[in-house]
Amino acid sequence: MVSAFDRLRQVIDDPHKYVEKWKDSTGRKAVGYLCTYVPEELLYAAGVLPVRVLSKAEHIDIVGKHIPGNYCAHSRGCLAQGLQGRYSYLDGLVDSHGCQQMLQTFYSWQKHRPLPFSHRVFVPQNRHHPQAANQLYQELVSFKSSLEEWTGEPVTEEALAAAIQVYNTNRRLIREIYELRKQDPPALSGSETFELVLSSMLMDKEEHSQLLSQVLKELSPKQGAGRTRVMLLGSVTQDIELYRLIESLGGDIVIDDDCVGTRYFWNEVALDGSSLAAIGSRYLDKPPCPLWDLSAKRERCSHVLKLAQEYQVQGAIFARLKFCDPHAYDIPAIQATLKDNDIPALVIETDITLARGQLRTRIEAFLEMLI
Amino acid sequence: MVQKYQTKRLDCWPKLLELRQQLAEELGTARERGELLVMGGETGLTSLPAGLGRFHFFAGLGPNTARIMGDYELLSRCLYQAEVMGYESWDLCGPLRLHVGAMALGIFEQSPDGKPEKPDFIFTERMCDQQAKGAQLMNDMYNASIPFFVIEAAPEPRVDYMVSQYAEFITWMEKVTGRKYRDDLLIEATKNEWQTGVLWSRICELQKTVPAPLDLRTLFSLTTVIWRSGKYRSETIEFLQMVLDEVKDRVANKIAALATERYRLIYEGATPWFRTPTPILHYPHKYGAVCIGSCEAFTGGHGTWEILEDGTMKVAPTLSELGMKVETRQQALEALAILYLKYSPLKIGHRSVEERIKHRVRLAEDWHVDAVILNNSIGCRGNALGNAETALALKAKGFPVTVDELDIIDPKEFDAERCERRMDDFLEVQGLRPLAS
Repeated sequence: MVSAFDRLRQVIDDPHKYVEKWKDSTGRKAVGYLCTYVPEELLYAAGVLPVRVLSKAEHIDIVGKHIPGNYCAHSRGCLAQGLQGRYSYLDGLVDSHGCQQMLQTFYSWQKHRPLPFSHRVFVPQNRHHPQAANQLYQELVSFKSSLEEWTGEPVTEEALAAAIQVYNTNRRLIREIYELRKQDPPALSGSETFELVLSSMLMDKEEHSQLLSQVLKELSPKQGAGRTRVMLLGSVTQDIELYRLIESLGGDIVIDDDCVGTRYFWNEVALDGSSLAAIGSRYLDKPPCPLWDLSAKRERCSHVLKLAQEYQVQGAIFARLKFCDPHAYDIPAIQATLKDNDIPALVIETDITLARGQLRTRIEAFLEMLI
Repeated sequence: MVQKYQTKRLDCWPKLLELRQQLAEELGTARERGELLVMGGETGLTSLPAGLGRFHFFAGLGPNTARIMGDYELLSRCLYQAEVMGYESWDLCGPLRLHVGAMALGIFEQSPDGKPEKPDFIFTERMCDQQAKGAQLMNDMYNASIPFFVIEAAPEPRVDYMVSQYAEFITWMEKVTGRKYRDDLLIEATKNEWQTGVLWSRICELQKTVPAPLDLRTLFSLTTVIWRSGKYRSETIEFLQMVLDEVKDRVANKIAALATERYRLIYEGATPWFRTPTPILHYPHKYGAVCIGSCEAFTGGHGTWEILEDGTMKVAPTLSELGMKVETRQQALEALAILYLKYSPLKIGHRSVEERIKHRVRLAEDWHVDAVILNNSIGCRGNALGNAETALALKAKGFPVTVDELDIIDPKEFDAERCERRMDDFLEVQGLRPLAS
């Protein structure tokens, strides 16, 4: 019998197969999204499956005439997948007004492989401005109307409340898993946890939550000496090989600040008042990407430090995605915060593929230093 | 037989130099007059601080930029310093790396006579991702001692959001400077800011003329007055009016930027800001080819254009032509919001690839251009946005296009021979040959 974990791994191995099957069995639509600031709850309430578009190095050269070479591997890799038709089963594509690199991906995809539905959601980056919540509320009203027009079905308050419930449950379950990583040794390794988060971005959340619950039931505390506890900080780290490389060298990523990690699921929608307003608040309040952290407070610094301390990390590894300026500009400030609290950090550069040999040497030396 | 046009340097060139010198000197003595120093990302919205009285503006890279750019060793030291501090990768935004390095070395905010001049506050409007983080970074560099404010450039039609951010900025400025804000100054500045954009666009529109009255290098030089003074001052308007009158005269008398003009180019994207051994924008002159402009120059924070459905750029109407009254703070803030949400192709093009491509294609068509050179500066994502798709769209319209990758800041990345060879190859493929000197 296939375990719950194996079932999740199957989805990661072939997300396209999962979504196509889901569409066949439900008769409903699926929409790809390019950023974690896309409010998935609205799509879900509209009966649409939100699917995270993943980048791959496969035939990435085909994007050269559409996207500049000085754009990040993620934006190029997502577009390469789109242009190759790997996501041809999608019915739409949604992005947020986030970084310009994904804006380019969104444009070129829709220009050359247009999907029936597309939308860019404006989530104010000046998120502490008194008008931000109201602006986002108006935007969500508009997004909801676009979805209703496209699907031909109203998105009811009940459907929104149910979607919020489904998403909150899933987030809560992943938080439970993360709680277990505070143990030494953690009940799950970093790579296993990464698989749980990644699969949640690809699946129907209700089904994912059922599988997660089973995973939680099947988990038992691990024995023996723990590995070196490491925090990973990155843009949108999708390569499990990095996790495995660190594990192979005696480390374990016990906590992260990454779009395929805590930034995706950390906070819930607070159920009070209008569903749309509550959803909006959730996205304004979520652990920010650097482009939503523009104030002098530098909230990312304090948030990262809090996580690092709660999870008792011995060191941090910044996986700096080449050409991702917003993250790169935060690194010195966060690194200084960690250093002030005696948490050493290593900055590595990631691109389309991992330079395994070089990384192995650097990470190994860093981990040895932490012991 | 190559036609020879009459050509001469702009008569107002000495005035340009005089103004630049005056602005530099004023910056050095601003404190003595009790005037504020403000640091910002670009020239738009300078009307907002103007309500606090006359101020001096560090736009872009600070008052010491020209000195640093003219000194390879100093420039390299700045970039190296940034690397040492953790801004280590050459692929990051060059201007920001230079900012950081120059600040750390204590040469960023020097006035022309070498006195350190720290700004009273920093404000920036977020257009590109780098600008979004820039003010925060500067704040770090000043050990959080200089307050900063970031205005988010929202997509159209969010006039109310923009107005509310501007209003908050005014309250914030009063608080951090302790000065009383004067709406009459804001109102006057707003009218000037709008008019500065219109005048600049009128000058650029005359570049449609064959032969082109100015070349792109001269256009960039003229914009330095706007960069240094901000768009809000009446002296800027007087200067631009003088330029406009002279350019009209050049058009009427067929006075060309290049006597041998026979081929017209757009050079899109910024060229290196440091002194290159190859005068990039003048290099095509030996073929009788002239760079007549670019979206970057026509719109880069200065031009105010009305954009038609197909991307056609028409000089924007003036406030009075639109029948817009600017008599109160609210009206001034609304005018500024409309100016940048609706009449700024630069800002629109940072939010919409589709619009950016349309503007560039129409510019090539309407300004009677033969070919286009696009530059992807390796460290500049904002400039590169849409470049590759622009090339495809231009080619589909029959325009020859070449794409270069010259870094705007880092001289280590510049290869003069490669740059020249690329331009030679491109122009010779178009059938051009160097003219006999």
